[in-house]
Amino acid sequence: MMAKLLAPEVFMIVKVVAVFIIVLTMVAVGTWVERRGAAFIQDRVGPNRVALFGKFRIMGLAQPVADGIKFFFKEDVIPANADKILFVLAPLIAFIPATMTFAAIPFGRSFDINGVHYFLSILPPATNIGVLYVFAIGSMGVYGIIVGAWASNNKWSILGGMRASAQIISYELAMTMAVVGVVLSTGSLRLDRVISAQTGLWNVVPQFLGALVFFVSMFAETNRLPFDFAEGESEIIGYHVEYGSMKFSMFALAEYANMITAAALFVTLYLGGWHFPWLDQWIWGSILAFLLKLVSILWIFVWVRWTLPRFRYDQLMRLGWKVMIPLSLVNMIVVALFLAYRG
Amino acid sequence: MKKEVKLSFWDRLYLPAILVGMGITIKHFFKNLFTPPSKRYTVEFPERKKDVPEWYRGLHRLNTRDDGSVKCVACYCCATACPADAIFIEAEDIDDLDESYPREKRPKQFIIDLHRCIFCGFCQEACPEDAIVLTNEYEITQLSRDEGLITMEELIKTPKKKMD
Amino acid sequence: MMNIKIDNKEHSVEEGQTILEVCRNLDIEIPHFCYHPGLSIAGNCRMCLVEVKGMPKLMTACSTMVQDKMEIFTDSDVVKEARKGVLEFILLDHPVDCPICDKSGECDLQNYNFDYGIDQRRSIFPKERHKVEKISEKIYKNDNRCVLCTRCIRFLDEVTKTHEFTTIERGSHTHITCVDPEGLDQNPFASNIADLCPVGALGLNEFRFKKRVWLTEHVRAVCPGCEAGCNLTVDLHTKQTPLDPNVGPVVRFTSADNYSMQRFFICDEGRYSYSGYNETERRLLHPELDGEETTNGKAKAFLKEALSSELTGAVVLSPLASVEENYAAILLAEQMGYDLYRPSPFRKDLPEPALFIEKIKAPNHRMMKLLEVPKVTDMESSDYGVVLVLNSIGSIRDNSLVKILSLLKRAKYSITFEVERSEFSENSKLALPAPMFLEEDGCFINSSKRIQRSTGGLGYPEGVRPLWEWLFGNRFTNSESLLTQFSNEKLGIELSYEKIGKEGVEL
Repeated sequence: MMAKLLAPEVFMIVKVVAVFIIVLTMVAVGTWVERRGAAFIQDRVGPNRVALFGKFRIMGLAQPVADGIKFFFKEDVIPANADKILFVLAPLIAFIPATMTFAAIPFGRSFDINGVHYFLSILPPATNIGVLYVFAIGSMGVYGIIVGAWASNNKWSILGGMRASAQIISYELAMTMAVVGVVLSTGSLRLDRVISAQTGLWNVVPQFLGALVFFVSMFAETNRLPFDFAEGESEIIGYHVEYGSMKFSMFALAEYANMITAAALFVTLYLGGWHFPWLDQWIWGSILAFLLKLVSILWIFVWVRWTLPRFRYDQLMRLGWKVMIPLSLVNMIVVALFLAYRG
Repeated sequence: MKKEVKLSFWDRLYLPAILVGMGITIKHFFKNLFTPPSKRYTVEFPERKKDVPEWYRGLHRLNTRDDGSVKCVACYCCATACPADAIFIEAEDIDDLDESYPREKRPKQFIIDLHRCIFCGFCQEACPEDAIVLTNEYEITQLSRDEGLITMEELIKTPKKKMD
Repeated sequence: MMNIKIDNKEHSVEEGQTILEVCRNLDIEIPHFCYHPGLSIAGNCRMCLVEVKGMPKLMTACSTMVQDKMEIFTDSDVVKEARKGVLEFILLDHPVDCPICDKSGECDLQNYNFDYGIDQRRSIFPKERHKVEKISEKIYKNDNRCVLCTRCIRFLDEVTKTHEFTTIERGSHTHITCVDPEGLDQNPFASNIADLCPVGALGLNEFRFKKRVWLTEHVRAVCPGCEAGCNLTVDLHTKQTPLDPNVGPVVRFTSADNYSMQRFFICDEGRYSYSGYNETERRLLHPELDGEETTNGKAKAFLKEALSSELTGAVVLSPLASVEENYAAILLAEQMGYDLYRPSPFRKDLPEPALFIEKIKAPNHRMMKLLEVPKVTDMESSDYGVVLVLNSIGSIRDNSLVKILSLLKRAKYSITFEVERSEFSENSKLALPAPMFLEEDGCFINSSKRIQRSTGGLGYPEGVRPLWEWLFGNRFTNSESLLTQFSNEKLGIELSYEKIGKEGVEL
């Protein structure tokens, strides 16, 4: 059994299925955590009514299921003047890259059994483009937003889409520049190398500035508060005003999937990936360590959202261009000078 | 008025302030996480009911005399005082001369439109016979507009205040 | 003329008046129950006590004549104390059942007790109880509330001279009783005793528990029932609440005092005619062309066509309509050279006692006579191209009616301006909706040539416009301007609503 499971093709499929299920489950649970967390932070109760079989409330954990069922059965409205093909396509364009990005993330230590090398990421680490892949696919997400906004043929959604795309592009610069520091210190684009380079000392300590810039940009990239200009659900109306039912839900799913990927990337680049003192000597331990770090970062996403108010748009742009990009450049130069000095 | 505020370097960095804010929110989070549901601010309504104060103004009640007849004498004082025109009364003649008190008039119809009522309690203030009172009953729901017009028979059945 | 001092203020008043009358004319309130301007002075309620300098005791204002250099105090501490005492005595045996009393809101006892009375009853003895009696078809009596002012007895003794009421028993057991219920049924003025009663002891069965007084709006009008032109207080209830069944805005008619005519009562026929003004079934609310409802624009076009047709015309005025409406029709006739006619009003035999009731059952018949408009029955030929007929609620004589109908049937352009659908509008091409007497300000000239103003408390209903607006558009802004022009041109005096005032002007 174990041997069969360890056949390379089967192992691959198992990994893909497991990752997909876990990510989607985390998305669902994420919405629940978000709402319950928000409620507790604001001295409320939050969703706790939905009960399994009408009996077991399980603290409202069935809420995402109920939401999902509701979304499936809602009337699917396509506005009369919308571009129908793009309107349908946009949620997919948003959702697929969000889940695809996770493929490059190593979520546990690689191991050898019977002389065969097994690695715990979907893409083989030898692909050699790890970091680039993540950024390349991750940047596709903005198309979902802008296409959805444009296809809706609604002035508010196009304004929301414009805001979102401008913001994402601005912060991507800072984010990428910050990562250059990591790539420089590692000397490779391979993510497994990035992780192994952090043995003993996580990147967050020597490259604190870069980590900070990456962390902040991460919020902007995933359209989370305090940078949620794309959606602005509480007042300014975002790119998906015209969307309803499952299509709307796809955008929400994409947001959470993006969050998970971004958090995973931060863990990989700055928090030592699956490294954890004592725990990472076992394979399961390493996966657990990775998940623990991931969940902590995700909680910070929620925590920050319900603590900070939204920026004004000019403040957002000023922060992006005048603070984040110079800081990331400083980080890059410091790392480069340090490496050059050390030889 | 424009107020110039000089921000120090740490203020301008915003990070300390953000961290303080996050400290506050997580404090609330844990406080609520470890508070049992019965002690939270939110009263989970159908299971738990809020104890309303004595002065709470809820559903109306028409008081009755000891013999079961309505105390109301259809004087229209409540209808006159009502700022929402929610009370409608039609008077009726009765021929019942009591030794202690003459009864000539009683309501034939007494309707309160709960959709219009604003529960201000003016009717209670205006009533010379202590006939109409607002009780502590606050679960007032109807499935149709017509059910919101409550008649004399229903008003008599409203449970009394707990204190009475 | 002599000089007196009331509450330390100098006044110069005419001789032969009582203190109460003087004070009434000076707008100084002296509370009273038994005094009524239309009745003899009884002086039995003791409510009107005032202090007169030099007199050892307080004097009843209703029965004390003013004399030169008299000094009267209506508001001194002694007077206040006396009023308090009188009210306490009256309320000893009064049930204070204002919530169920139909008089409350217009009750003298209630008002005075608020202003001058005491809060707490000191007597601990039980009150005497009487049953409520329906003493006639029109009147009920509640002895509990009676203050024994005997206004009702005096009215029936002195005004109608039918003597149906009297007091029986003595002392605190005294109460009023009806000795002749049939006589009260037949008395055409019986309902006045309900108005006269200062408390809720006598009331109208018709109004019993029907509407609270304070919910209505009071408007002064002139009774359109006959030529006498009695003044009415009309109670209107225009504010309909959503749950209220819409029974109509006119709640009741009561009499209004007219000191210049010395008339304080109205006949029962006029009093109970109020319900006719609530009827909506036959009411004409939209212009009708050939029996079909039409728009104001089409009606105006028809009018214009008729008036520009250069055919001969006749205008039939109405003794039922106001001076203003009639004058608008007269103006049209003068402008176009049409002939003017008037119908003969309906006549009815007088009841017993008749007092001031007039035979002619039209409020504005005197105006037709003043202007010497020829009768429609005296008309020689009835061939006219254009005929305009005015009509209102009420009736006219049959022979006039037949004549007008033949006029309408022969005319090419026949126009009727009336309140309710009648034979006139059925037989005319264009029927225009007219406002009824409570809907617009209008004046009426009564049999004693007094012009009086009736107030339009209801306002024009939607779609209904006055005749002068149909005929002359914006030439007149309100009915007052018509009255002024009428009085200038036809009567030779300058009149306005302010000049006519509450009580009218003798022509």
